[in-house]
Amino acid sequence: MTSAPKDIREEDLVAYVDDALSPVRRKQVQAYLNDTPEAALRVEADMAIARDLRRAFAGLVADHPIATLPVAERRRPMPLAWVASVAMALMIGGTAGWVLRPDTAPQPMSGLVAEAFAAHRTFVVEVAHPVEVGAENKGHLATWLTNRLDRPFAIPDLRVVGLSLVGGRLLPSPTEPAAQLMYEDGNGQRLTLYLRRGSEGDPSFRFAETATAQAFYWSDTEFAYALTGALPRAHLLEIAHLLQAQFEDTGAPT
Amino acid sequence: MPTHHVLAQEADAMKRYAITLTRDVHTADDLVQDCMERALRKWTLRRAGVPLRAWLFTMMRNLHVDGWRRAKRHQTESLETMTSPPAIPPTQENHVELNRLLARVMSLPEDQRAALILVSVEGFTYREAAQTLGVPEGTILSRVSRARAALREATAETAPRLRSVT
Repeated sequence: MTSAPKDIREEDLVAYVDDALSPVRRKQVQAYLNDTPEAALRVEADMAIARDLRRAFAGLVADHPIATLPVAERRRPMPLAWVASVAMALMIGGTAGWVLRPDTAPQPMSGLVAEAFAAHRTFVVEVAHPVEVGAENKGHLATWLTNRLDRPFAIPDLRVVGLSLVGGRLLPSPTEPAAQLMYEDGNGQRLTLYLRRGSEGDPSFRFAETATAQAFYWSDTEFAYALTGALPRAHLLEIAHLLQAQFEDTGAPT
Repeated sequence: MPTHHVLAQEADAMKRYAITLTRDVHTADDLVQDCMERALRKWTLRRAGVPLRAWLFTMMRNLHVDGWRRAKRHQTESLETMTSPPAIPPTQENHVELNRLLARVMSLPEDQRAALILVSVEGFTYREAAQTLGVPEGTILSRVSRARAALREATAETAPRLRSVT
């Protein structure tokens, strides 16, 4: 039988419950508890309380799973990660007072979206040179576009929706230099994001289409964006939401 | 990994901590939403080496304290005026006992409650809890100690008191 150390204090008993003691100290406390039933009962009670607290707090969030956050009506099931990320983007968009429902009525094609369609058509079919700077030089691409577009620029990450970055390029536009980023899904289906300075100050999503591609376009305080691809409209819109939120997040000029 | 996905994974923990701070389910939902929005705005300002959850919780507590100051000018907050105190559904096992425990936790002083939940439920080390709440580690330890003593006492009142063998 070991003799219990005399210097076991309140904080040792608290830290024992939280498993925050050094192995040496823990052994000493264990010896003390073996010899001191009253202290052992107290520690046992504290551990039961901690366990019940974890169960109670788990119960508080169990009936509010993240996937039940308000999401726009969808027509087909989607992977949970995708739902969660979009729910988050929509929720945040909602609190910022943005217009979430796109105006899907046909609109006269603005300069921006016409430029975006032209750039999309030109480069998505390219096999050898779809982009000027490839995804393997993503850091360089971000720096280059930051300098030429004169804005903080982080390349949006769309891997959560199964799109990997192909790369990007700088393009001439009637006004300022524009940039095109290209993404690709597992089937080789390509999407492009076209952006340039020159905002219409309208954060709501507007829709345009040609015979072969569809686009959602929007603006923030200084820049205008168009996302173009041959995807179902609902899917394209959800990616546009994700992009808008990421640009808001990673420092669009304010 | 994209910001939104990373944040979505913290949603449950944020909700738990928001309930700890506000003691009200609906106010907690608002606080989580405010905090998510703020986190997205401040994302690029995160310092390396600060764990995400600690960073979010610090931000949430600041938001809560600001909001509470604002509210206090207009009305006095009390447990009686709470509209939706946290409770787990009756479908869950042991819901009566667990809800009784929740009610007791919610009646603890906020400092003690926050320290206890960070340590016992979220598994923060004393050091992480100290950083999150902006107090020394020793203070965390004494808050947890007092919170547990109060809960032990309350639990003992409803359960047959166990006398230790002398």
